[in-house]
Amino acid sequence: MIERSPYEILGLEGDFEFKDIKKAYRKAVIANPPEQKPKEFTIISNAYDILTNEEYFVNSSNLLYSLDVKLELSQEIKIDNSQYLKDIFEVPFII
Amino acid sequence: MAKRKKFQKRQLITMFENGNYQKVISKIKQFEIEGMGEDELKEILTTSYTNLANSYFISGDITRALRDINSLLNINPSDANKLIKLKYLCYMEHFDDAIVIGEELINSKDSAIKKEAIFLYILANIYNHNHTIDKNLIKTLTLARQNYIQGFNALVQGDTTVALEFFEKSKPRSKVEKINLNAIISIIKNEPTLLNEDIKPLYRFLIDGDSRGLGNSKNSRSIQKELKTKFAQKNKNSDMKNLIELKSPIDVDIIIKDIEDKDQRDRLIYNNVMLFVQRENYTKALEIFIKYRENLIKFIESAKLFVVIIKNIDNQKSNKIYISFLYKYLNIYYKKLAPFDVDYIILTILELDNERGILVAKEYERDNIVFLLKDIQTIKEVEDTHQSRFDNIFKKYSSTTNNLLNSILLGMEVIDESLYYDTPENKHNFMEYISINIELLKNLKTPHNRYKNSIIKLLEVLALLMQSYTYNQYRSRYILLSDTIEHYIEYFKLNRLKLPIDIKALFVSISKERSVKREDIYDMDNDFLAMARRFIGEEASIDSKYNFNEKEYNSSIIQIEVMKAFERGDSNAFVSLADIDKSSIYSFIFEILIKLQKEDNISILNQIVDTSGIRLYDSSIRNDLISQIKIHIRENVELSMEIFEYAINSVPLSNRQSVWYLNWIYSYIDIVIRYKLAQNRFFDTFLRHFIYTQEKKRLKSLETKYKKLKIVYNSKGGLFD
Repeated sequence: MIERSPYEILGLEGDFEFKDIKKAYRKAVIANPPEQKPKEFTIISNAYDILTNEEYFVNSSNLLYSLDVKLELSQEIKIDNSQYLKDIFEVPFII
Repeated sequence: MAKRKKFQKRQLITMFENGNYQKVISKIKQFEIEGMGEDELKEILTTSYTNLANSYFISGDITRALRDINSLLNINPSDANKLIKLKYLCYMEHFDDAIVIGEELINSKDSAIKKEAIFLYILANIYNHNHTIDKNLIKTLTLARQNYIQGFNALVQGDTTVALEFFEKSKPRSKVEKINLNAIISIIKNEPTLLNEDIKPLYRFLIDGDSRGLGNSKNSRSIQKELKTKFAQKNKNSDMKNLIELKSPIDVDIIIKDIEDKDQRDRLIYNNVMLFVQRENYTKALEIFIKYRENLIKFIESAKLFVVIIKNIDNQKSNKIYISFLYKYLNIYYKKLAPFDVDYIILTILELDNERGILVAKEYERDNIVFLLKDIQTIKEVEDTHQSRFDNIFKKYSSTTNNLLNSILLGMEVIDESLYYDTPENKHNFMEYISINIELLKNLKTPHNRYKNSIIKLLEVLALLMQSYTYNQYRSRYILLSDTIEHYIEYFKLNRLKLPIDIKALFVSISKERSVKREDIYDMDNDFLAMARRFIGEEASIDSKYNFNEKEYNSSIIQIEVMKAFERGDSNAFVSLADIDKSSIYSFIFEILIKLQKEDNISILNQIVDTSGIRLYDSSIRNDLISQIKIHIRENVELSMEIFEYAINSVPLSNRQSVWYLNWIYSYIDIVIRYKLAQNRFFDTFLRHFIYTQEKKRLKSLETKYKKLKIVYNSKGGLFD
């Protein structure tokens, strides 16, 4: 499973500085208390560690993470090709 | 009429057997085939046309197939060949002609041909919009085919429900036919199906747009054109879905063409690159990243992804682009990044271009990097400020600093070779740099334990470099380095035996007061010689960089350590003897017992044997016992005999009839007699044992010795028995 960008997890965007990472972390933890949302809390803590803890940074899985993409795909196209069966000669039998 | 040229029958047959039917036909048309009768020629032509037509048909070129079958019919207008033509006409969608030839064949006397013709004839009528099926004709077909015809007739008229009912009722026996019928059903139901090799080209095409092997009839051409766009859109859609769900990367052009929102587009390109990296397709990842780097740099995450890519790519040509991207990135994100993050990027730039890296490190005030890489080179004499900067670096552990140290070490190791060719002046200047490093290390206060490996490696490289300099000229530097190493052996509690070879060699160099490093290790001629020797298997003596025997060195270290431990009263003092070079065991035993000058030699021997697990009668050291006895017998007669008796008595009973054991006791008796020593109870026991065993076993190699001892034995009254 590819983790999401730690910056996006902590809601860090725009004009922030390194010191703001801690603030963002606190804010995210308040919104996702460990006792209520343990999974989210772990994700947030990992993201914070990647950005601030050298050991974690160095060992975190190759520093690869994906960016969040909010994109709605058009409905899957279904192609009804049954009509073409009658236009080209073909039989299911061995002739 | 001009006479036709002749062609060899043998050549024609070879062509025929090789399947070159087109050539066979053309040779028959052009030449007179020598030695081949009309019937034979007709047979070859018939087979050639049939096979050629069939191969064209299979490859989807029905026009050519039909051309060849027409040629065949000119020679051999049989019903079987006409049936083939009927089939091809159907596939060519020439249903009017098919109906004409079909009408002829449904009256064929050959029932198999007749049935096949009826099936095709009815279908040709349906395709030709004649939906009235002759009941008498259809009855002659198998139920599977009857149901298929009924279903197809319904499908052509737009009644898919009825069509499906019939198709599902049609149950052909053949597996391939079942697969194809199921393919038709899934196309009608618009449900996905597992693609199988046996599915016919048309069905495969209608399922997933793969047009391989599809016939080239007019209808198939127009349908191909029509469906191409639909499938392209469908595939794009599923590709994009895979990318969004991070399942697989896609062609980046699809993202560019399909996604209008710039931010979403760039995010998808980023994820796409990352997916290529995950699949270790770094070349593709780099290609896309470089192309869209201006778009990707807006993401703070981009540099780390980029570094992962370029660390896995060996392409020096693009270094400028890499550096320019990382430099630009630092400019944008410097304030948002952790210090180690900045270091990480600067280290990458350093690896790409050292000078540029130092400039960037200076610009971003990465003092540790600048000090280790640049400032240290300019120090003439170590001052307190230098030492405190050095101390600060090693006080707190940082992975990036550790990585930097390791890359500096690699660089220093490489310099050793260039020193070999360098001018004396440059060589001397480099010695100053080495000395500064040693001095800084020597006075380094409490380095973090996690720098242990880097510090040892640094000492190892310094020892390697040091020994490229003559001992006499740089004696004090040798000693300085040796003291520094001793300090760290103590500080990190290092095992002397496990020290790197360069450090062991440095100690040997100092003890011998000359560098033991081989002068010719970087000599190209020597390399060639070494390679040649390695090739013929003579590598043992030339493998090392140094002219010293590491095994002997290790043994001497063990002896010193064991001696110290024993003197300290350490109960496990002799445990490390297990690692000693076996050839040193007996010399060590003599040495330690002589040195200790204690009375309870037996208890010390017991301790040695018990704690080290050494077997004194081991085949690899047996001969050493005798040679050590001969060395020590004059000076330490009692001790020598004590050890000898102990060793002989330590041999298990099961080995006491072996030749080597008998040789041992013979040597013992011989020494006692030769040196006129007191003949104690061991003497008598060993003598008796030798005589008894030899009389029983009659070993040829011991016969002379037996005769000698027999005299002694008899002189002692047969030992009173």
